[in-house]
Amino acid sequence: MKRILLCLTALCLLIAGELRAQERTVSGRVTSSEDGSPLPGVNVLVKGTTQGVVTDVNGDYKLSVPQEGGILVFSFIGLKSQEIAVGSRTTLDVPMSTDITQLSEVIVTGYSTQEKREVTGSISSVKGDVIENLPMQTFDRAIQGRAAGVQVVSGGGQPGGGVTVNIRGTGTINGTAQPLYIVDGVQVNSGGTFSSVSTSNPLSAINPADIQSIEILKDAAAGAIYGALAGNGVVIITTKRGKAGKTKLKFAGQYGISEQYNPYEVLNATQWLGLKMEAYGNAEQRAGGSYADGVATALNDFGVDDPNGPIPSYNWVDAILRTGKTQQYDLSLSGGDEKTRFFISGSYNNVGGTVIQSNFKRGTLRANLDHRLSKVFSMETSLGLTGSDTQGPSVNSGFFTNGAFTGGLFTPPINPIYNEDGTFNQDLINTSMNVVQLLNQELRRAGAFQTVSNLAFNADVLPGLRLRAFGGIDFADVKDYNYRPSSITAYAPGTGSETFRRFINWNTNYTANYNKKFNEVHNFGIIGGFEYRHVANTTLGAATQGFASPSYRLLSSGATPTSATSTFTSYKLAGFFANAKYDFKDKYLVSATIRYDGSSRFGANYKWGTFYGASAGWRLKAEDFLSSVNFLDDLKIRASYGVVGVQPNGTQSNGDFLSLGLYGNGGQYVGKPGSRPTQLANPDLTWEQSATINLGLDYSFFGGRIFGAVDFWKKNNTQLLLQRQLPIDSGFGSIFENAGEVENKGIDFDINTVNIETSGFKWTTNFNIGFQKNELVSLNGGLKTSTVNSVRYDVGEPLGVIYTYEYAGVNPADGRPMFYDKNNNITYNPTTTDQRVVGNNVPDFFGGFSNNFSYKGLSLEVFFNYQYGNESSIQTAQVLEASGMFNDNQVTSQLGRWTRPGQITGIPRAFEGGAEPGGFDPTNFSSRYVQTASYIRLKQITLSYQLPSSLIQRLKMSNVNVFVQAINLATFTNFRGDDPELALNNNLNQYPNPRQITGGVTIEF
Amino acid sequence: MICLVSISCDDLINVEPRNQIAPDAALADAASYEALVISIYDRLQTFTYWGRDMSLLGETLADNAFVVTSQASGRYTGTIRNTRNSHFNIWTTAYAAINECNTVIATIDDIDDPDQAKKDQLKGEALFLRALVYFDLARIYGYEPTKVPTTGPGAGWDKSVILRTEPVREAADAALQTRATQTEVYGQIEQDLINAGRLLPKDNEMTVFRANKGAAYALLGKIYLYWEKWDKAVVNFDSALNNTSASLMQAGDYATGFKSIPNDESFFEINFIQSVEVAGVEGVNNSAFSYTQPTGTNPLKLSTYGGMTPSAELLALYEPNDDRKGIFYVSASSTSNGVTYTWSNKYAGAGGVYTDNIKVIRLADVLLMKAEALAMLGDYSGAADLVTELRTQRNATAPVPQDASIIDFIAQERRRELFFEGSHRWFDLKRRGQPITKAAATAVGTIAYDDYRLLAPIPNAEVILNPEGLPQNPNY
Repeated sequence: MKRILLCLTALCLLIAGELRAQERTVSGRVTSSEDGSPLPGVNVLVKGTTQGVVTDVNGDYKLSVPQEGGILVFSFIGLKSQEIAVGSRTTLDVPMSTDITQLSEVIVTGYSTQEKREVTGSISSVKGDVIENLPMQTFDRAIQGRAAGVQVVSGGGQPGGGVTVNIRGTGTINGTAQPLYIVDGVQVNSGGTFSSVSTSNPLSAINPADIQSIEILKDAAAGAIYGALAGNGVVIITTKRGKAGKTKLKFAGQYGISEQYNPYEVLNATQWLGLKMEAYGNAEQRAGGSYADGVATALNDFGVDDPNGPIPSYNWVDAILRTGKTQQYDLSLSGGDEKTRFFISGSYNNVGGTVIQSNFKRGTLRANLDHRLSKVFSMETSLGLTGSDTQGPSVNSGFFTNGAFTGGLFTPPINPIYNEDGTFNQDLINTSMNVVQLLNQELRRAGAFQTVSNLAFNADVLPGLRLRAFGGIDFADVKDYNYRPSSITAYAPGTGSETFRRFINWNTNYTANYNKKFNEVHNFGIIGGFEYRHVANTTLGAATQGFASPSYRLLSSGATPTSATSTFTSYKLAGFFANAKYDFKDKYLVSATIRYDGSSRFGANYKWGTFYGASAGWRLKAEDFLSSVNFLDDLKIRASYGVVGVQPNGTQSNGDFLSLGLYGNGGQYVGKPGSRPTQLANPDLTWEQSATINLGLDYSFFGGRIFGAVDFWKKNNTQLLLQRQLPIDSGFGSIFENAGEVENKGIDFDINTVNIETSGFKWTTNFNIGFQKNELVSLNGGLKTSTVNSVRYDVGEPLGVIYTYEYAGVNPADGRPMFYDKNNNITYNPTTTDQRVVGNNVPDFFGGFSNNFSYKGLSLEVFFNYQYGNESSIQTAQVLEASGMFNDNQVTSQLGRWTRPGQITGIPRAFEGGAEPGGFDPTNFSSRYVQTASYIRLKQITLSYQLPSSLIQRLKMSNVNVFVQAINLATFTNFRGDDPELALNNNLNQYPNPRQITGGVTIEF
Repeated sequence: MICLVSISCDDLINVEPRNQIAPDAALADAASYEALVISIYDRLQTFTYWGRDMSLLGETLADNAFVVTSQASGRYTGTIRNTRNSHFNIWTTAYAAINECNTVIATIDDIDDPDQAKKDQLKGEALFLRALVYFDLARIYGYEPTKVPTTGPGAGWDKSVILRTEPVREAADAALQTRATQTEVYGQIEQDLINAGRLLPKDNEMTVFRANKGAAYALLGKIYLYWEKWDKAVVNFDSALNNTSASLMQAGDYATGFKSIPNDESFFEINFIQSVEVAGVEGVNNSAFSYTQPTGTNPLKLSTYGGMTPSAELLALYEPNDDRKGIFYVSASSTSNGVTYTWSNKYAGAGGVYTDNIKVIRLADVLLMKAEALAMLGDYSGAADLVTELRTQRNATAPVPQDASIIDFIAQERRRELFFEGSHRWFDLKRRGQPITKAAATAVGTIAYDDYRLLAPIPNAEVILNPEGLPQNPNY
């Protein structure tokens, strides 16, 4: 079926106009019960009618009511709704108080909003004020530990760097594992990095200080409205908008420093040489010579006359590090009247990394406008513009001598950093590059201009019926620049490369939304719509080599062009969707969603898929039998089921064209171009499906003193986009097909308590935890194990198993490393078949824990995040923990290597070159280099003081807040690797997250 | 109110790739087939295949090299000690190349292109390259047909590699297969080279950078030498010599001869263009230059990971006036604190920084192989004439034996002439069933012929995928 005819039928709704009875007018003012200030923008509605107004700048309203008065409903986001009988009054002033039970909190659920009370899916929410003043450049970092079941793994300490977010575990192998991010309705690019020269997070387009709220749709029923895109959850970001009333000016500024977290204590030159002498001696002895001859050779090789004399030692780690400086300034202006509201902001960030020359600078501008053209028509727009510049060392994982951390940690300390004349020493033992010179002289830079903007028109054609047209764009131009001057001899004859990357990503949608309450008890809502998205990414790059002087830095100065590249990837999506929800007396709630999505990424006959979700809730508190239970504010049980889609991971090569048989670039030879088969066709390739069942409970007790939620969930990803391993002798490693299943299940638990609340002093606690279990249920065609692209998969095990040799320690008799063979016998020389699963990367649980103390204007927040039970390999240790067998610098633990018979140690004897004849190189990957990476981290402490209003009013200010905060201040872990937060398998040359301390001020006028 | 929307939905969501194209568009005429053949040469350039390891790695496994670990930064420090799994690993590159060869061979005759000569040439090249790659696979992962050990873990192990001759065009074509026997693989190689010799033009019509008639016969002769079919070897070496414009480097020219591009002696040489094939950090990380030259003090003053030096045992094989000694030089590196080592200047950056062409087949090799085949047939004087012809151009004057001892003499001459090229020493010892007496400095001692390390391990994931058809080589 090449063409599909689709009918969208909007319900024909006949609304009988109600006959108006005799009316009179009531007016009044709505104020804050806390400070008596007027509240503009509060909805005032005559209950049971569509008659309503919004309070003006002074909090005043005026409204027609029936002759007999009726009941007025006052509602506003974050305030406790009130219903007041008018009676015979003609004026009615209402103080409103903050809703601590959060029941009327408005939750953005996709193409519409819901009050929290009504929600039946599983949604976590993070408010903007939680992350507003954090010295973090992207909001994804800031939500770490704030939402149960949402695992945030930062990509490292490079300012502005990438982050991965896993909502309810990873259920996919080759599909995208990252959630869909929607910023004010715009589906934005996320994940990975914008740049290849440094890490650059696409989400840095959004200034975290501009964010009003972040909603995380965790289950399939909540996400089903996004159908094929919702397989990993949906993160909805809403930026701040103006409120009618006096114009508010807000300024925030902060300044701080950061310091590198480095768990490795490395040797000095004397210690290092000691290990080397021993390694040479042992090897010489084994070769039939004398130990003393080996030692002599070592002294010769390393140019040391007297090993007992002072040996100059150079600290390479210190040489690559520095104290980073952070500056962040935000300015915003918001306000408006009943017709037009605005929020305008600007910000500037300048974050110096803790590695020399690493830096992130960003400026953002935002204008969010709302305008009501008439009673029927209104419009909204959000305009954002961001310019950023990232400069930093190579953060490619791997044993690269040009990595800042591999270079700094591994360079033997006997190497001087500088020559006597002050130039960089390039004659180095064990490495061809002086990493300090490299960081100073190599330029690695990515500059980006981005916009995430949108425009929407609404038509409120009938009471309760809104038509909306929306268009949004996420656009970025990124330029990578990498210049390697010939003054670095390993980069002879000097190379330069530049790459322009353009990311065009736009989406548009058209929706109709109708809400109506019938007979006071039947609350009904329906939304239907169409959405279209087009993503196209192109790059254009070139490189040249041979520069006359290191001062020439543009490509045109290079003598010889070495490469020219241009790439294109693109996909398109179209979807039709509808949701209907209904509740009876606020007591029984149901919601059903369906979405029909098509994607260009799939096989010719399988482009379209249907996704759906249904959920139901029962608010027990609304039942008569609980109405008299006073300590109970609210109790709701929820159940949902839904099936949503997972798309291919667009960052992998061919991600947009996985179903096609392809020929591509086949290199070149003797100046002629090559072309070669790159992929086998699978015209049947289609969506990966993710089905989630969720059972949840929302609770609130004692007038909001205790509230939270608990969710039990199970997510099954089936017909995975799985690379079936093909025998390499076919010429292809694999082919994509839909097969296999991954199951994730878990519990998300969230509790908020007000522990103490006395006059002036308040102590509140938030605790969340997500337990999860991950299992690969099946693979293609009944395979029990499969290795694709060097990654191992075992049925019955979690994804992310670590499969290697099991280390058995050191033989006390001779100091040689031992391993277990497949029969658990000890061997010196294991074979490939002795490898086994020794761990996996999936944590058992993780979450966050925060305490807030406030007394008068003083408040203190202490926030921990934690993770437990995941194993990680420590690749860095494969080099740093080698008993001095190679020339790389070592960590001090290696001084405990085996030296004498009978000694019990886990560190083999030093033996130059690694493997003893007939043995196995103990620095090969084995369980020796695998460790559990559980941790608790004191993620944030913030101490702030709100100046007394008596003082600041004299200064014509409305609010002044000064604060100091510390990020990553302390980490409690047994993990000996770089940073437990970054504990993934490929972790060589990681840039651990630094400790940061900043102080600042927020002023509102 | 009812609204009806009719949309051609599939048109809305259609995107064609641009960096890649459909297979039928990619294989439309002879020119597009040439691009596919170019891809095969590009694969040969891979550093873990002919780009470096086929030249050097076997030298470290055998006895011609010693790796100074303090200079090597981990490069070849495992292979010099013959540790488990430290071995050639060409499986992936080789089979990708073979599938491309198979595609050319099986389908080029079907295209509608009037240029028959071009089609013949391309098919001939694909046949030659398929034979070369299968030969490398066969000798790395299996024993020679006549040299299966009778003792040790590999006793009776007649398994060679998986033999595919049909292109894989869809997933169904990639079904699991079983390791063929050595004889089956050698038979296929023989057939391919006979056909390649028929189809290929001579090197003067082509270039020694691509397959040619002389190279095909030379390789066929080499196959027969490994197969111990001495008379057929001689016949084909003669055909090779009759179909080449290669000439011996003259007396006094050995050291400088390696800097000419192409080498005078080349039958088949892999060319590298520095600016596109060895640019960036490729050179320092991967080149033969970087592996064999001292850092900082080499003739180009480049940084290297040079740790691979000629072994003391190799250096002891030369008589004082032998030209070939001139290619060695003694130097400290810029990081050895004055400690000097002897280095080979065979990879001298003749094609630019870190860039040298790789000689796959050259005349001296062909002459010595022919001499060996003659000697094995009992024609010792014929063999001695060839060896003398070569040695005269090397100013090596010691007399050449005229009896059966010439066989060992030729083996030594091959070390003197061909060290650090083609991993000849490793394959020569293996095909002759001889033990490896490692350089004393390695402390490894002697590796018996029936030691499991004579064969390379097959990638473990392949064995797990196909345990019945593709059993792992013994003891891995």
